[in-house]
Amino acid sequence: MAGSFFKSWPSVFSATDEQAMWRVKMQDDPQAFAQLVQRWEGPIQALCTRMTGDGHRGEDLAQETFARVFARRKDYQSAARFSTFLWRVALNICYDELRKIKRRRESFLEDESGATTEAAPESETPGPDLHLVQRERAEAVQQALLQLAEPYRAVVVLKHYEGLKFREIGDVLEIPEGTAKSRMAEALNQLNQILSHTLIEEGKVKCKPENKPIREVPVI
Amino acid sequence: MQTREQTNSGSPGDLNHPPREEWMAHLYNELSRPDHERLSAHLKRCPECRVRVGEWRATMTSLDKWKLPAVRPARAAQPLLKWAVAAALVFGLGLGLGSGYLLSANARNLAATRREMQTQFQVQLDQQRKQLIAEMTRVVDERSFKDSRVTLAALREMNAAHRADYDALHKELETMAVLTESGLRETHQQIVSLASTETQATPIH
Repeated sequence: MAGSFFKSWPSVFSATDEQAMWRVKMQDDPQAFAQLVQRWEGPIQALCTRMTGDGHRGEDLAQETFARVFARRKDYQSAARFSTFLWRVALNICYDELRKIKRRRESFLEDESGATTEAAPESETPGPDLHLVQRERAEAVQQALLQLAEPYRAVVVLKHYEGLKFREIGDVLEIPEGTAKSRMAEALNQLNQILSHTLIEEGKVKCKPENKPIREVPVI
Repeated sequence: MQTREQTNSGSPGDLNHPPREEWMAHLYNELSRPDHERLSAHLKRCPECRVRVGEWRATMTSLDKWKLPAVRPARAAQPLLKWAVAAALVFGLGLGLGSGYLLSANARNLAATRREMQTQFQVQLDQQRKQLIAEMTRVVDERSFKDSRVTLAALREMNAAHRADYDALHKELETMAVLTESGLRETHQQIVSLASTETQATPIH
C-alpha cells in the first residue's frame, strides 16, 4: 500500500501538457507522448463521439487525432496552449469525417433512388430495458445535435460537454469570444426547436428525427 | 465583458434586455459577480427574458441527458492532484506561520537568554585570553632568563679563559724580560772583559 502511495507521487510533479509536448517536439520523447495520450484520450474521444454521434467512430477518430498530433509535432508552437492545439486537430479530423459520411450518404441515396433510408448511428436501437425512456431522450438529444450545423455543434460540444470557457472556444475555433457566445445561443435556440418537435412527435408516434438541420441559418 | 444593457430589436416594453451573448456567459457562470447579480435582478423583473432563459436552461438540461460511457477521467485527475498539492503547500505555509506566531514569545526569551549567554561567554573569553597572555609572558620570561644565564655562564667562561691566557702570556713576557736582562748584563761583562784584555796585550808607542 505504501509502495503504491509513493509510486503515485511522481504524477503530482509530472510535466505540464506544454512541457510534455515540447519534449515530444524536440526529442521525440515517447514517454512524454504517452503521458499526453493518457491525459487527453478521454476528452478527445468524447468530443469525437459527440461530433459524429458514434462511440466507435469517436474512438477511432481520437486515435487518429493523436497520430496526427505526433505527425505534426514540429508544427506545435511552444507559446500556444497544448489543449488549444489538440482540440483544433481533433475538430478538423471530425469535420473531415463528417464530410466523408455526408458524401457516402449522398452516393448511397443516389444508388437507392431515394429509398427511405436514414443514416442512423449504430447505437440508435435502444434495448428494452428499465431505462428505455432515458435512452430515448438521450438519443433524441444526440440526433438533435447531429442536426446542428458543424460550427454550432462544435461550440455546444466544447462548451456544454467539455466545459471550455468561451474565450478558449474562441481560441480553438479562431473566432471572437462574442461569436462563440452568439453561436451557443443560436445552437440552444435550434436545439430547443428540434427537441420540442421531437417530444411532440413522441407523444403521437415514435419519431426518429431526420439527419439534417431543421432550418438553414447562416453561420455567424 | 459587456456591462451595459442593450435593447433587443423588436422586444416590447421599456426594459433594456441584456444581449444573448451576455445571457450565455450568465448561464455558464462566466460573468463577474456584479454582472451576474445585475442579470439575475433583470431576470426577476422581466418576464420576456425569463421565458427565453427558461427555454435555454431547459435545453441545457436536455443536453445533459446524453451521457457517454465512462471514459478515463485523466484530464480531471491532474488538476485535482495539483490542487491537492497546492492545498498541502498552503496548509504547510499556514502551519509554519501559525507556529511562528505561537513561538514568538519563546523566541523573545531565547533572544534574552542568548544575549546573557553571549555576555558570559565574552567574560570567560576575556579571562581565558588574559590567562593565556600571562602564561605566554611567563614562559617567555623563563626562557629569556635561562638564555641569559647560559649566556652569562658562557661569558664568564670566556672571561676566565682570557684571563688564563693573559696570565700565561704575562709570565712568558716576564721570563723573557728577565732572560733578556741577564743576557744583556752577561754580554756587557764579556765586552768589558774583552776590552780590558785588549788593553793589557797591546804596547805603548
